[in-house]
Amino acid sequence: MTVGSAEVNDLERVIETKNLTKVYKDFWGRPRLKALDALTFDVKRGEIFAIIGPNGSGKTTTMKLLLGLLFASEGEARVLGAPPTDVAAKARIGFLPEESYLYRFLNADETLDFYGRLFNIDRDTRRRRIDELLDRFGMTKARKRQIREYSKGMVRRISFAQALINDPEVVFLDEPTSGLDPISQREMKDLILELKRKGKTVFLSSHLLADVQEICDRIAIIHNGQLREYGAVKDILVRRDHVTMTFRSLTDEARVKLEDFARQQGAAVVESRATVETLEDVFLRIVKGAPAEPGLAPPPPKPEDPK
Amino acid sequence: MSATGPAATLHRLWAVARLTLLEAVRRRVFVLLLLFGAAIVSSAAFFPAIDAESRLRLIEVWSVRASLLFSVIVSIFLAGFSLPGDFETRRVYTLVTKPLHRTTLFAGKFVGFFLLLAIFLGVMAVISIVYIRIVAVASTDFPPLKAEPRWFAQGLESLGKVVTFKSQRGERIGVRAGAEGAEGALVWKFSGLDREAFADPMKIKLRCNLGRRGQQFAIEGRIQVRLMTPQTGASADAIREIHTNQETEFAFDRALVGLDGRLDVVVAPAEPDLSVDADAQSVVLYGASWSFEVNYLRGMLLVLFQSAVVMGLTLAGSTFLTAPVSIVLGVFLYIIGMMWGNIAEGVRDIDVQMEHFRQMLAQGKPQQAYTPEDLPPWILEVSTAISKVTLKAVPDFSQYNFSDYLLADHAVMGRDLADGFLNMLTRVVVLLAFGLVAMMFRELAA
Repeated sequence: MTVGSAEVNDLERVIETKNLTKVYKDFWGRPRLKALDALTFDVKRGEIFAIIGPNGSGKTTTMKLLLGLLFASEGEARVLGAPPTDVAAKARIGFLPEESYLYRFLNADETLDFYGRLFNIDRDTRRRRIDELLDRFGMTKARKRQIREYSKGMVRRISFAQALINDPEVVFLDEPTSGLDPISQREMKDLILELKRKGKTVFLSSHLLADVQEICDRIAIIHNGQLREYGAVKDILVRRDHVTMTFRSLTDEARVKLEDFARQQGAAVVESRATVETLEDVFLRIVKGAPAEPGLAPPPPKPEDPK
Repeated sequence: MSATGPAATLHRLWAVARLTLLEAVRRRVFVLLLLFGAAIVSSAAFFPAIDAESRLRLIEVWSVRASLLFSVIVSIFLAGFSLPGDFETRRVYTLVTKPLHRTTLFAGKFVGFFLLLAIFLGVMAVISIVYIRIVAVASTDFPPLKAEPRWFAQGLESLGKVVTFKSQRGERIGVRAGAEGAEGALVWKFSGLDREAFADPMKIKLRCNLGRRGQQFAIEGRIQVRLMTPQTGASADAIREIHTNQETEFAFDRALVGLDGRLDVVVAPAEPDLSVDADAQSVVLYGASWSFEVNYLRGMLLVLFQSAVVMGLTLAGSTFLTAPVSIVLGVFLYIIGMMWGNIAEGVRDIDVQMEHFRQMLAQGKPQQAYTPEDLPPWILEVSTAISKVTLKAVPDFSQYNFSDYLLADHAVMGRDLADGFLNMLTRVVVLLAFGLVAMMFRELAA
């Protein structure tokens, strides 16, 4: 299921990568690990885009490159038309890291105030925005408690609130639902959909494929640092060689003739309705048979490659 | 909401600095340091002292050294763990993904720790002053708390026949007296003085070397000191017996300081065959005592400057080194700074020896060409070259030693602060630049 009816194909590209490559080096500058290999994709304004892959596939590296935490070895990345380190562009993005890396000696109010100051938001706007966010995340009553006293879910909510303090155009979410209970996961998904409804672009990485399938417009599947599948969720989930045909008023004779014709064409008639796979099926099919460890190893043969 | 521009950058820098201060307060580091500091200062009460004067000096030195030690600990440990802590806990992810340039983060940390040190030293100064005042009130014979400003001559000139010679501390000039009287005189030229800044009578201290014909040194001798007002020609004389290389105090009418701020101090030998030699720093004018409290706070600025250099290096190191290595670097700098004078003296001695070594070789006397402890010459050349670079890079921390001022009742003058500040600033600017570059090019995630 995709959310929203906006056709994103012709919209502005807010995130772009071109041959984005990252090679981690050792102390002596020798290549140690090729984490990303010539990754090229784009994310358009207003869509929810997910990058998925197994552990060590390069998801987090991609996000860190897009956020300017790492530097690309080759290729380039642009966010809102600017390099990832551009300060002006960063004023228009929000980031929720996988873990909540906050100052535990601050309370919720002070945390949001501090991050608001980094955006140079004036005092009145900052106060109003903090009140709104604390209310939105149900943290108003706990606003004066230090973060060290919070439960994991509460910390996660404040962490999300800090990512939205500047009312960003693009929101980066690294494993947004990881470690949350089912209710909190549902709230998180609702919040992501709410962001989309407000016209925000959401770029997320996740292990939870059902969630991704549920809320994302487009996805990129990477494995061993390489892009393996990329496009709209609805397109990726369709298997073109596995077709379900539904007819109205089809006679038995016509049905037999159609089945015979299909057999003559070399097809095995199973059913006539296009099979819709789950995203998990697609994902496992793509990565099946590949080496467990990512890195400099050659990419595994694609499923359609002859053995 | 502006993303770029100097005002926006300063706003963000202040946000980081403010957070740094808040962290120190919330983690109770600040309170603990102040408690320890106060405990150390007050522990001076248990030290034995022969008289009230000794007790005052003990408390002064103890309180300043406690403040210095704790400020260095703050500089090294808080600054050493701060950035590496942000890297290791990945808090830096939520910082640099905001419109906060990496360099602003580093500069903000520096400003935050500088302010933290300033507040800490300010509070320590208040604790020390209050403690000293309480001890003063409780004692019957406690000496007055003084802070006397000092002025040195703009230049040393001479009249008549003069002898010049070089010493390790620079050039000195001397004058002699013959059988008929002095053949010359030394003239210290002062300007920019304010008559009202002096007590009446004004205090002058003189320290010079004495010699006699046929002898290199004389232990004592009689000299004539004349104060002259260049503007009016008014003068006053004093003839006194002085000892060589010992400070002698004179008192003159402060009206001799010209309204144009000029004053000449003329010194000549006042007995046959006596010679007097000195340098520009040999005559010092002492002004009326300043407020002890204000002077104490000014002295703490010197301590702050010293700590800022140590903190700057530790923080700059922590941009690319681990916390323990950065801390070792800071400790190393502190030790070199404290030993600056000893290292400089060692370098001078080796230079003299090496010069002698080269001269002997040039004169074809290799048997007389020897080096200290018979070390190979190249080792000495390399070690002195490294030492010279180190001495250029590290400031002499003796200039920040406020306890020296307190022990002599000297005021911390504007020039002392300016020199200390400039010496600190040049080092800190280089260290900041280094740290900023390291921050720009380091990857913040593994």
